[in-house]
Amino acid sequence: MDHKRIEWLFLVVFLLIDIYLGIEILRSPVSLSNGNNNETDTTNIRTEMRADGIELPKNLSDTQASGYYLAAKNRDYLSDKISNLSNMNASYSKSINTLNATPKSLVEVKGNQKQVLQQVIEFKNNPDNVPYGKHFKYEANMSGDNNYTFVQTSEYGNIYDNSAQLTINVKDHAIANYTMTYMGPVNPVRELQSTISPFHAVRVMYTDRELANNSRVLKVKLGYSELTEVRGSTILLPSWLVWIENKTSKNITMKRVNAYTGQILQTNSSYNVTK
Amino acid sequence: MKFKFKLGNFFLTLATAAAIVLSIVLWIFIMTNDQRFSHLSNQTQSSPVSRQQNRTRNKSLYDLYIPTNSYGFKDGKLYRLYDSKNNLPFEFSKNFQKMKVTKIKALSQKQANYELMLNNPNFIQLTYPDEVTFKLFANFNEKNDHREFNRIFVPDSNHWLYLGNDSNNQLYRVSIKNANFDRLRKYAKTAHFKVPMTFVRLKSGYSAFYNHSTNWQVYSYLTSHQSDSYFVARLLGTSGVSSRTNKQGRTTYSLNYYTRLTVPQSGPNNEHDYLYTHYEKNKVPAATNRLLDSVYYVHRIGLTEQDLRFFDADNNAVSYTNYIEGIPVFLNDHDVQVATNFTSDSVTVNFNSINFQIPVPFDGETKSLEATTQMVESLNRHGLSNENIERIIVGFHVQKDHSHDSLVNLVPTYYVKAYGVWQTANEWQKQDMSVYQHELESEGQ
Repeated sequence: MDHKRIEWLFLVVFLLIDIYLGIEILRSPVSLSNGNNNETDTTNIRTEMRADGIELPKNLSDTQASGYYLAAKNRDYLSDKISNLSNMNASYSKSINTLNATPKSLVEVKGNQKQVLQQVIEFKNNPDNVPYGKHFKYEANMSGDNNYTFVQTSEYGNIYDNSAQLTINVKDHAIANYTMTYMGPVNPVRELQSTISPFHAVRVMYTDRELANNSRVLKVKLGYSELTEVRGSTILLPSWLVWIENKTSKNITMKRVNAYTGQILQTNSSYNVTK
Repeated sequence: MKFKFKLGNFFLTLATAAAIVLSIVLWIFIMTNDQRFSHLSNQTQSSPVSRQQNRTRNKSLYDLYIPTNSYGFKDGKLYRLYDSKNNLPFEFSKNFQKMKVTKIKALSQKQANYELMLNNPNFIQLTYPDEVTFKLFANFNEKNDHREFNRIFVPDSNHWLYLGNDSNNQLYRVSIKNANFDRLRKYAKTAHFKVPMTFVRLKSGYSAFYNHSTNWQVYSYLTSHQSDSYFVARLLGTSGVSSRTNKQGRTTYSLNYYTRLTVPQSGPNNEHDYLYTHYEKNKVPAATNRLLDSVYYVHRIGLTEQDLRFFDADNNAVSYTNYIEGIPVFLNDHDVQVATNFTSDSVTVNFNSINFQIPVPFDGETKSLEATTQMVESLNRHGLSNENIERIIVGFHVQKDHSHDSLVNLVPTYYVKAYGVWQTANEWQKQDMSVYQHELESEGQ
């Protein structure tokens, strides 16, 4: 009987050891993070995100795009345009490079949402109302019921920056006022290069914990963001702009991912370089 | 009852023995699985399957293996093509990824025929700085061969290409599907920076010789560097790492006996050069696998890869460096960004942590370089003969700009590879050539 008891004891102990070792083998080893290892299977990541209550747009592409480093000369482009705005009472703040303007007479915008937008665009395109108005494009994701936000365009893509933005406010079915900044013409600093894909950008946000559980990714767009200022120029780089909605609070935030390196863009740093 | 009792005993003994054997097997499996201890992933185990997965899962392979230069003809003259708005090699690479190869036919291996192709104005040429294998690109050829090429001839047709290997003058005709190079041809016609040149045969292949002195743009960058701890964490992990500092002030971090990282000395003499070594008995991988394995190490280091391109492959070494506007950047006078070396005992990776982070707008500064023939003649007079020159390129020499700590200027300079070594033309001019001549003589004996 003692012998049998010992055998049972051995069996139980070794079975426990086997289970432990089996679990150890099944558990994937802790790998160092690197570009290659981080290339976790797309499907798995999508499944993980779904399990965390994160919804992605259906057509989120896994294809690389391309973009430039762009530079814009830091100049005051708006102050000397005030005299051309014959329909507006305009003022310019040099410290923040911002133009504020109010229509001299009533500018009505009536009809449904689409019709109102069309009338606001027509208002914006009139050089007597808005300088460089045709250089701005409507951005629905940044607009509200009574404010229409436009971003500066260029032949290389749209610029998403506070220094290149036009917001037209509507009140009581009429244009109330607008606020505008303008970066001026932009040019490539280096040749065209490939970027990461929009899905890659969202994945980076997820792995960097920038994408909270129970959120919905509404839209991912390639646009230019300010990187820094160098030698009197603003340097812009291609970035994936990700609009995220919190499913509970319905709050919408926009985050940026460096489309070249996949790093999250937090704040713009500034260098003063002279030569 | 007696029979049942015995059978029960038998099964109990059998189950216990099986449990013991199983635990031994599992334990041996864990202990012999290097991955669990060195944190190396399967991809270093030289398994073709893992390489194939690497290839399909990681698009950066194509980013690292974009051709670096493009050439075309205008009015019968050959030019290096450059367009600041349209990156010609990148445009080609986008199609290259999509196209399907249906047939590869080996053609002539005669130098005369090869040179006819080089001087044929009906083709746009794209070049790699050194030979790559057909097999590197999955769609190209699944057969187990080691054929190589470094030059692509794009004709007017979208149904075929010629590929060429400079080192042995071998030409291939490749039939393709799903390719459209119309945009590339359009860009080639409108490329506005055009330097007239000729291809001259040197020891390792054809180098671009610029016919007369040319002004080259000097570019500037704000640079940054990752910390030592970043690379230690990426390459060795965060636990079980010990460190030891040697007399030269360089610290070596070790993970077990097999994996080490030597970091640069801190202070003003910091050249940001790291050496990673992983000891492992293994066969030296074949050409394609060397290229793929080196890509794995490049990713693993965690450098910014935006401008990083394949640069050179010699024997068991593969190197990568940053290409700015089609020109390679040499660090610390004549180093590259990443150099991997495979031996039967170890893999070593020399790398530099510099990151060309922010491009500074071009301020009009240029540097004039003499005609290539003129530079070569002066090297000949110094004792470096044409037979020993392997390659000549225009590369960027990194110079610190004293107006800002992290600002560097990239100054165009002639770089010459001879006796397996890259140096600037000026360095070769100052080199005591008798060192290499003695080496050659002893090799001959």
